[in-house]
Amino acid sequence: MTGAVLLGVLPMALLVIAAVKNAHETLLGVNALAFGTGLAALGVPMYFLTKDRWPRVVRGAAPRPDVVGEPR
Amino acid sequence: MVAGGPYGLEELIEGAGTKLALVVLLVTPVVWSLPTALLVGELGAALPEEGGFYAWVRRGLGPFWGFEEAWLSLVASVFDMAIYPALFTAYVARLWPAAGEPHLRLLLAVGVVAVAAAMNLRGARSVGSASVVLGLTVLAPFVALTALLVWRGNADGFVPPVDASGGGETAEHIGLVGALLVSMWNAMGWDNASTIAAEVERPERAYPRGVALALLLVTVTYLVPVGAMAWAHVPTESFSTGAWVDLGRAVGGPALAVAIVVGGMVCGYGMQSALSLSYSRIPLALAEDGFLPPIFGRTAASTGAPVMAIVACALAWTLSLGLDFQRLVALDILLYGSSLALEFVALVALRRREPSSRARCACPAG
Repeated sequence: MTGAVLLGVLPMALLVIAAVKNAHETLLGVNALAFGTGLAALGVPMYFLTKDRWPRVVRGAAPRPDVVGEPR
Repeated sequence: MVAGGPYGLEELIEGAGTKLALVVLLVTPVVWSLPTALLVGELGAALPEEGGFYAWVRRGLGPFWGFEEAWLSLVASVFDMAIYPALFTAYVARLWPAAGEPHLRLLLAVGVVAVAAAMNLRGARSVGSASVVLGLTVLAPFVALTALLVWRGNADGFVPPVDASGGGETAEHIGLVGALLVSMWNAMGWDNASTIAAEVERPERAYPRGVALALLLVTVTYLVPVGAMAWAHVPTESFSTGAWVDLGRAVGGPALAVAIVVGGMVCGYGMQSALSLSYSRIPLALAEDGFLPPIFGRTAASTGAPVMAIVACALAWTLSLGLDFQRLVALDILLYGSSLALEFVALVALRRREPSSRARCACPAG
C-alpha cells in the first residue's frame, strides 16, 4: 500500500513544479494555469448535466474482428 | 502512443543544451515515466476494460470521478492532438518553405487529423500494423545520424555547420523549465494504451511486458542521438523544431535531410493516428455508461471502430491547431497531469478494496 502511494508522489511533485513555474503563460489573454483549471472545473457541471441523460449502450456479444496483440 | 522518436526534442535541446538535456532525459523517465508505466502495467493487466483509465477510476473512486477522468483526458486531447499536426507541418516546411505559410500550414494540419481519423475508421488492427512500419521509418534516419555524428565528431576540430534558423516555427529560447515541460511531454501518455484493453488479447501479459519494453526503447531513442550531439559538440543555440533536418544535412548530406523530413512527417502522422485510436475509445465508454448519446457507442460492424466517436474527436481536435507548441505543451501537461493524479488515487483505492485483482499482475510497485 505504501508503495502505491509513493508511486504517485514524484510524478505529482514534478507536475506541480511545472505548473507553478509555467504559470506566466497566457492563452486568449488568460493565464494558462487559470485557463486549464477552468476547463478542468467545467467537468463538474458536465457530469450533472449528462448523468443518466441517455440510455446505456449494451455492446454486442459478438467477437470483435480487429483484436490486436499477441496470439494465444 | 508515448513517443515518436527524437522528433520534438529540439526545444528541449535548445533550452537546456546537450549535456543538461541528457540529464533531464535520464531523470524524467525515472521520476515521471516509470511510476506511470508501473501503474499502467498493473491496472491494465488487472482491469482490461474498454475505456482503460476511465474504467479504472470509475471502479476505484465511483462514477463522478470516472467522468472527471474522462473529461480531463478528452479536454487534454484537444491540446495534445494539435501538437502532432504542427510537428508534421514543421518538418514539411524544412523542405518546402511555402508549407510554413499560416493558411497552408493549417490546411496541412487539418489534413493530418482527417487522414488519421480515416485510418482509425478502418479499425484497430490497421492502426497497429501501420504503427510498426511507421516506427521503423522514424528511427532509421536517427541511426544513420548518430553513427555519422559519432564517426565525424571524433575528428579534431569538427563542428557541424548547423543553420537552424530557417523554416522552423519557434526561435524563442524556452529555458530549463520549458525544457523540463517538453521532456515531460515527450515521456507521457503511458496510459493511452489502456483504452483499447478490451481489444487486446492476454492483457495481463501484454501490458506489463509492453510498457517495460517501451520505456527502455523510448529512453534509448532519446538519449542516443542527444548523446551523439554532445560527443560531436553540435551547437544548440538555434536548435528549434525541425532542426534535426539541418543537422542531418550538415553531417550526411541532402539524402539524410530528406530521410529525417520524411521521418518527422511520419512521426507526426503516426502519433496522431495511434492516439486517435486511444482517445476515441473514451466517448465510446462514456456512451456505454449513459453519459453520451447512444450514437457514440455504435461501432462499425466490419471493423469494430466507434465511428461517431472518431469523427467527433477529430472535429474537436481541429479547435486548437493554430496554437504554438509551448502553450499546447503547457496546457496538455496540466490537464493530462490532473487526470494522471486521479489514476494514482484510483490505484490506491483499488489496492485497498480489491487486493485480489493485483494477483493477476506481478508488478513491482510496492
